[in-house]
Amino acid sequence: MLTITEYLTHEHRECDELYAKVEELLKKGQWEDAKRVFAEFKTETLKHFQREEDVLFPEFEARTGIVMGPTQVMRMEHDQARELIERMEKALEEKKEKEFFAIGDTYMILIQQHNLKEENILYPMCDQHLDPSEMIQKMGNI
Amino acid sequence: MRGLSIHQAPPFQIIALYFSTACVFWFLSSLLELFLFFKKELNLPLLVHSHVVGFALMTMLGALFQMLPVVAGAVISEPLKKAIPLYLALLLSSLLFLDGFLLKKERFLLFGATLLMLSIISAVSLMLYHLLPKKSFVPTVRGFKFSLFFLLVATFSGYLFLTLKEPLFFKIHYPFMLWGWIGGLIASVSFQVIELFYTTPPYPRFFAWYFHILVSFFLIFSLLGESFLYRLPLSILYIIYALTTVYLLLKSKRSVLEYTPKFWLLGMGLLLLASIFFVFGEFLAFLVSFVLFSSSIILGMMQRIIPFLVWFHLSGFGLKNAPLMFEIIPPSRQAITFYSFLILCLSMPFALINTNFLIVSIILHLFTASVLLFNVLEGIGIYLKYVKRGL
Repeated sequence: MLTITEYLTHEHRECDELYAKVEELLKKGQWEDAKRVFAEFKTETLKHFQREEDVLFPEFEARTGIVMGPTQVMRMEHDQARELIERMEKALEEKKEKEFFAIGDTYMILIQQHNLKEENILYPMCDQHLDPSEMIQKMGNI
Repeated sequence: MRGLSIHQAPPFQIIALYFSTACVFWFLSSLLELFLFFKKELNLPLLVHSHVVGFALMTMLGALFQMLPVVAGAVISEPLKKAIPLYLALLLSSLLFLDGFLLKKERFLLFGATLLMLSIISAVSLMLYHLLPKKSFVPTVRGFKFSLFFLLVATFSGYLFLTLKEPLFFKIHYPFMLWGWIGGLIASVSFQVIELFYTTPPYPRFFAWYFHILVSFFLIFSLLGESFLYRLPLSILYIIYALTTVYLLLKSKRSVLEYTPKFWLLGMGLLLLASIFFVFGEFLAFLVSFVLFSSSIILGMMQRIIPFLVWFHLSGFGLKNAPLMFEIIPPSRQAITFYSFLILCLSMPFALINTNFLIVSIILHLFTASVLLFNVLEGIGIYLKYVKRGL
């Protein structure tokens, strides 16, 4: 049976691969393809955030009573990531390669230390306190 | 249950203090090398400890204050109240300890060593107290626990060697300090950082999960005899680790402009050399390669952690368009440290063959340390500038 950790970690890796693809296309100067893959990356990343914020975090908070703990930090970091994604998109639109890479560099470190916290701490806690199959089904509906 | 909270996140002051002090130590150790070169004296214990204690220990304990809550969910409450006294104790005791080696005064050395041992025990106890109750869901967390334990063994054995002059304690001290603590902690970090930050395949699960257990066995095994065969398993383990890391980095899907992956690659090359020299009992060459290996990884990581935390904290305080990492330490300035350090590494074989050539390596060390110190202080300065003017 799939755990919450496995399900959401897989989504993290998918988003990472999409972002790496954007970098690769930009390095080759393929701006239009880069924009297309970036749009996919943005959609998948925001959908992942939504699954957590609309389903996983509220269920975790309701079950454990921890409202101002890890989930609050994760929401704050999602906001920081959303802002950087918007700035990356703008840099792509304006074909500012250096700016894109500068923002992307900060984004990747932010999101990877965020993923570390989720994969090592929060998701295992969710697996302990929630029903993984029910959660995965609910998140899959988004 | 309390995993993370922004209020429990370690304040930037902790890492800023530990890292900037480590950089000052590294800079001072290059001046010390220059002083000893002109004095025509090779004070190996002083030089090695100025790297391992002043630079590596200060950096790695500072980094652990940051990593424990992030990676392991081990939150140290009121971290400033604990990290600052520990920092002061480590700083004072390290200076006394190194002075003991410099002045060659036994009493001074023992006094410094006693204080340093107490400081390290306090720091490790604090960290293990918060870390041990946490379940190790990933190899990194388990690696942290082992590495801190190795640090304790290395510290005790070093102290016993100083006081009792029994060679067995020296035989325990240096491999536990280098392979166990430094190598073990770097491996723990890499098990997550390489895959996540550079979008590579993961380390083989079995290898990462049992790595530190194998290090423990092979460290003990290496103490059982003098033949190279006793040191071989430990070396082979680290050779496999280094080759795996190189393989994964070469598989990276990222196209990064910054130099950290190059520092990792260089570090792994030096680790391979250190492993080979260790087997063949080439002690000096082993020490030099190992110290350069750990310095390479620290140089790379420090110049990523400082800019990230400056951005993260400023952005977390609500500063719109907080300076990005590239604006805090640009890749061009990171590149200067990489290439000067690379040339330093390349100059070392010549220096080991002909000691007159050491001056080139020392000047390169002085230059690299100066740029690193500037980069780190500049990053901290940017943070302070925004905080002082109320963001």
